[in-house]
Amino acid sequence: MFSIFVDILFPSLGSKVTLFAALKPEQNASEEVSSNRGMLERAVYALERHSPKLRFIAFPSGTRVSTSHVSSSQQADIFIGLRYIQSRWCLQSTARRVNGPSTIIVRRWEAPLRCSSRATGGKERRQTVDLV
Amino acid sequence: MSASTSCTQGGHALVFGVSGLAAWGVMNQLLQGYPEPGTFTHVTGCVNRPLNLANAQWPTSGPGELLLDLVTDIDLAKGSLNEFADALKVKVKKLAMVTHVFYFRRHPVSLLGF
Repeated sequence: MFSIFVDILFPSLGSKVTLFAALKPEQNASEEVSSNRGMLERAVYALERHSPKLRFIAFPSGTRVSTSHVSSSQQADIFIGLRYIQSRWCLQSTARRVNGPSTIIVRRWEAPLRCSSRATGGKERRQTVDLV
Repeated sequence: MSASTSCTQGGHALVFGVSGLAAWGVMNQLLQGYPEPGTFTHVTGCVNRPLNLANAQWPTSGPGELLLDLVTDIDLAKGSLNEFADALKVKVKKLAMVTHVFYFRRHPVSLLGF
């Protein structure tokens, strides 16, 4: 599956490149969320502190860093040429519930938010947040 | 690509996790002038794994002047907030000019190495 995926996206490269793919869902979601949250908080804190011109942060679909995550139905968008980001300049939603300095993300949100939330009992919830 | 390019006009894109499939593709497209030539004049890839530009096989000649930096040994899971922020500032050139971040770092246990 991996080689097929690479061939589809990068036919000119074939197997010449060593890549690392996040293909395996983490069984322990809480551990994954905790770890990802810590890493994201470090990144956001550093950017807020040192990158005053930052306009937005884009996340891949399915990233788990808080109680909400981007709908898996959007995953293809991020992998196929970033068209979702291109067309919407959309900041994906996953960090909006992270505590601490991540308010930088929400404040600079420039596009409608679409996400699902575990807080809704697994039901997908779509919403639009226009902060501009 | 030019190491002496000014970054005053276009944005500075910072991509985390560029050894991964998705982030590699992001870098590949940004370096080809995505979404439009001139949108970014500086692209910086960050990765914790050992990686060099030759092995990454990203395009070396994009449209116009484009500065490419690859920064390795960026461990998002290490240190306090301040420690990581200080380390990132030291390692990433013109961090203050970053306008867009593409974050593809994931929990390590979720990764399958190939």
